[in-house]
Amino acid sequence: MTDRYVELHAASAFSFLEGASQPEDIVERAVEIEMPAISLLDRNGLYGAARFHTSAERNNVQAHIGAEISVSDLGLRLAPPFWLPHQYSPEAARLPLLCESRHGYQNLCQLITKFKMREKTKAEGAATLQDLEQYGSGLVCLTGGTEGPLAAALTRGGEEEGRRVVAQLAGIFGQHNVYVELQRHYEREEEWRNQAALRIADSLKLPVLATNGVRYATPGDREILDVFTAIRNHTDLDCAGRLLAFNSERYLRTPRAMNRLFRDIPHAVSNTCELSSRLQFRLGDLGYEFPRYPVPEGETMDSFLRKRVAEGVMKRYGQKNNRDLLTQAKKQVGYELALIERLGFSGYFLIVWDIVNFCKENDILIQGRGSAANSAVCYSLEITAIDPVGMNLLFERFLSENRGEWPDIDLDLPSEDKREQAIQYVYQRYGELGAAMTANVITYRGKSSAREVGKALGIDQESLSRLSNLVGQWEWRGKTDTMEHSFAGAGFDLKHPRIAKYLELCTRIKDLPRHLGQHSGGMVICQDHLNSIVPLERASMPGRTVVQWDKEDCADLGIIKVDLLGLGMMAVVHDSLELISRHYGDAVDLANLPEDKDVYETLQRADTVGMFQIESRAQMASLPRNKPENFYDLVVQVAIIRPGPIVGNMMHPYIRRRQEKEEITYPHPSLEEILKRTLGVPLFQEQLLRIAMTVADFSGAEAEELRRAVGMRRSWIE
Amino acid sequence: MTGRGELYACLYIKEFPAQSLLRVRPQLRQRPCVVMDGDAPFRTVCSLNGHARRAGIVRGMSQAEVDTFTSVVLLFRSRGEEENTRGALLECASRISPRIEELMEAEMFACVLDISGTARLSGSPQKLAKALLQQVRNVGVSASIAISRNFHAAVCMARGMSRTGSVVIAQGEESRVLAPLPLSILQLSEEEAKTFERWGIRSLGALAALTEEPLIARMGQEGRRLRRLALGELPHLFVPKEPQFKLEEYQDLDHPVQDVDSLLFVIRLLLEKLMIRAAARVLALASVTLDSSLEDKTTYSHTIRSVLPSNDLHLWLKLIHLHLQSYPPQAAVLTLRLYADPEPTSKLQLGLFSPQLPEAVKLDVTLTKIRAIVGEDRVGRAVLKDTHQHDAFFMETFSVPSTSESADLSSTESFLAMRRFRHPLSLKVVIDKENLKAVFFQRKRYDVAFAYGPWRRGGDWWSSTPWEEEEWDVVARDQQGELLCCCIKRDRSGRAWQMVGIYD
Repeated sequence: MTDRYVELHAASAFSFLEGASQPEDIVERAVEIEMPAISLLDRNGLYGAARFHTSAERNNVQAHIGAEISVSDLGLRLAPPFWLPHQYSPEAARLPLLCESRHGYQNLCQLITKFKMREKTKAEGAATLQDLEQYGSGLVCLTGGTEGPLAAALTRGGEEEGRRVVAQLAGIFGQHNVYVELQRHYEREEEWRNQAALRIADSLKLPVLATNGVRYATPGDREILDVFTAIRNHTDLDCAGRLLAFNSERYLRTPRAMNRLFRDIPHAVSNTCELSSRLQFRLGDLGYEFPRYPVPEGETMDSFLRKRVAEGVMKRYGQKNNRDLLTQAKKQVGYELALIERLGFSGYFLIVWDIVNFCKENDILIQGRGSAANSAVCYSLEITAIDPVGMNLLFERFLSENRGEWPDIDLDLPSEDKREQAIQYVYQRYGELGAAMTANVITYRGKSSAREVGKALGIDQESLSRLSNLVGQWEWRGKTDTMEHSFAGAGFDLKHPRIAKYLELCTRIKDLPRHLGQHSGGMVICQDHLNSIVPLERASMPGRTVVQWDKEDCADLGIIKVDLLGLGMMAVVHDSLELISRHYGDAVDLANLPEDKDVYETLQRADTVGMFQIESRAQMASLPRNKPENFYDLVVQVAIIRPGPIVGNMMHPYIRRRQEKEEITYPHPSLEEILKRTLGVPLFQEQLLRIAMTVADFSGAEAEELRRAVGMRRSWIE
Repeated sequence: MTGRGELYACLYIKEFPAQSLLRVRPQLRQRPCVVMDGDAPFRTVCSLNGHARRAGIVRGMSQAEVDTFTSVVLLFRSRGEEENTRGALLECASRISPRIEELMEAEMFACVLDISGTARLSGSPQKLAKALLQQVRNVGVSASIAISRNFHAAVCMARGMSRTGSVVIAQGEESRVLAPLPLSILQLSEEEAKTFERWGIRSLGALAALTEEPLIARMGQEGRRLRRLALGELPHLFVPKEPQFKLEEYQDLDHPVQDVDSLLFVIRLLLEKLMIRAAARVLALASVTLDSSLEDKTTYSHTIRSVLPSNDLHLWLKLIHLHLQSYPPQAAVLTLRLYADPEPTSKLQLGLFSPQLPEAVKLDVTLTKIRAIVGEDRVGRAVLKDTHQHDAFFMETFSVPSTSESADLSSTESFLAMRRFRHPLSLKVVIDKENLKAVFFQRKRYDVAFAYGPWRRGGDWWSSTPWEEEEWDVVARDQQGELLCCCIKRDRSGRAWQMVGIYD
């Protein structure tokens, strides 16, 4: 008979320094050992749940979602006895909770949000028994391993105390929703607790459940966990002592190994499959709804948007006195609105329009940027200032029916104060639990991994700073920008076993999460309670709350974000607009700037000191060669001095063709239409989309996926 | 400023380089000694003692000139020893008053103590001067002390005293007392000295007798300042300096010393001084560090600790002696520096019913003797290390237990006791399909009835000595039915079986 087992208690590196594997690696291991389902329970949050779910779905593994919740009323977690030297700091015991249904998931999110928001600043926090009673339904409770309340109670007060705690949990979650957890890591003391747990389960008539309290995917990852433990406790491996792992057994074991290990308690293993089948909730079933914009009676969001857009079209295009352009604009807007209505995005546009209106009423210069500039609707709603019709921009780059994802509008705001005003407006409008900033997962990069692993290994400070200075912090890397090269440059002998291990560990912990930060401007908004979709917590900055997922996670799960980004130059532009009207009496409309020959002549002379985007040395060097003559030339000018075209060797061919030193050719005649404006050289991501659609017959969605794959970068900061 | 309540005592040490050297060389004090400064062949006498002066030697003589005198001891200036003496003197002064201002003068040491308001603590100014003089003598130097209500009057008087001792200038008597002193004590510039010489002014009294306005007209404000100095009226803004308390003594040895007994002789002198200084602050030495530069250009630095802070000279000499015997310097010693960590004198109160302990000092000497035989890290008490590894411990120095520290280890729970084998004994194990079948221990076969395990542990994977082991708790019986409850282990890499211990 095939051995069956589902791991229902695994934690990833999103337990921040208490787990050593990415959620994707855990799923990969589950696939490797043919485990049909697996659950993820990270410490006090669902930080890794989105990535875990996405990866599991891709690999046809069922992803059960849950979390290990610190509960202050369940006593302190297990620590070595007082007579043994140790450095454990007091921490609340953690209760593993699994979501059985969407209701359970929503309760878990609200439970986490409740105790996180109870803290005045960013902190771990802990739930109370009262919180558990309030949000306990739809959740299945396990009694935990060494971090759990049962182990702590057994050590604190023996079997009697253990029984009291388990009975208390059964009272809160219900008799059928509490499983007495058994873990076997080949530890003598643990087995004593297991025997006591079996007796307690028997006396309370509760089912037992075998788990392995997984902290890493494979046994070798224990080393990373030990390094993380040292980092977490601000010590080094030599001094960490009993804080470190006892052995390397907390990996994802095969069903066969678990069946063998629990051959004396077979029902503990079979119960895992039974419980797994009970856990019906999938993260894809979040129930997220973007907030509805309140419209006057008799109006729908679609009709209201149509009216606002129609007004905008007249305002934007009417003054241009170009009948053809107006007709074309009306046609484009009609097409876009139909698509927006079909996709149900009217509310989204109205909410962004509302934010833009608030800013305008409060004298805050706001400007949409990025792919939103491709939309005539955005232009009409005064979200953006570039005429996409006149500029012949591709709307599909912004929104596509096939792509099945929400549009992304990035808004630039001036200084910090003004931006904060706009952010606080969103909080006020949708409530503290209705809107939050997206997170930014801070992961280990070259420099930080070298520094922290070095500290854990007890490498001296001087060598560490020497190494840190050599490790590059940029994403783009040259041939010599390898860790090996940096190590050799810092004077480390790579043949020395300790240094070789240091290098290996640095490489292994790269990209693992270190802690959660706050995204610079991404805000997510929800129709009802955002805190029942994703847990919220306090950000380090006063007055800010942050969701536990980053922008990619939010995008993967269909949660829309509005980016309110700070741009210092917006303040300068704002002042300029005011000064021009004061001194010259001319009101300047950024959306209808006149083409001025003098401006282009100045640019061609590279007299651009102090001019935003074109004042760098590289820009000034290329301006006299490219000689921009109209607005589109300027668009190309800004785009060409960027890492993409430079690294992709696009810049020089374009400049040579621009100077007529090279013939304009196209890789294929069918691409002429796409590449004509950039002289046969692909410079924009939009062109990449079109090339893929033309050459490979990609759909809009496939082309966009290709674009995202090419430019994929999760949020991280060195 | 000179105010009604002000009172200053100036401590003045003449021939400071010579006194600094002679205080740790008492055997030379009765002989003419000169201190040479500078590099050969331009060495000159920078300081000398009374015997040398009486023999006719003066400051500035070259070595060749000094060599013409018989039985003169030539010493070489040691800034290190001067610094130590300076520290010791400042410390003496600080015991009288915490407000001290040090004056910078070549070849001299001078400091002024603000002693206003100390009468109730130290008695009359005469009594205070006597006490200070005695303390300075304990340091091994002779000094002049002058006390006055005016800062500068005290300094001038101390500078002008021809003999060591003390003088107290009564209020209003400053100009009269200072009058006979020569003008040279005012440290005049060459030009000023010539001017006064021309005018026939040779004493402070003569200078004080001049009328102020004409003097200012001729010499400017400096003339006024000098006159007020001579009158004992020049005000002074007192800038006190907190002397740093550092128990340190230094000596340059005249010849390289290899012999431990000779070294101990010098150490004894330095220790005595350290102890006097520590005792004056009601402190005792907790540790002494010997820091020496050796003839082979290396250094020797060892710290010796006592179980209890102590100022017992014999104890410290014994401890240092034993230490030097165990760890002798590898070459002859050229310089010797002793640092001491002071701590409050030990207060040891044991409970009435606590067991009699050996005398701490004797215990300390005994332990040092044992340490000298078996090694430094093999004496003390075993303390468990913070690691998952069984048997990991380190040796901690014995300390006298404090009654308040006793931890309550009593418990109603019964514990299973195990007798561990140190080191574990090797044994043979019979395994069948990964199950333990029998154990061969002390030439007997025990058939395994129950085996619990494996219990796995491992660590130090980052070091050069990673470890990993598996343990089993085994219940076995031999042919005669004798029971063996034991813990056995297997090194996972070596596959060697060992008996860890037997359960009671």
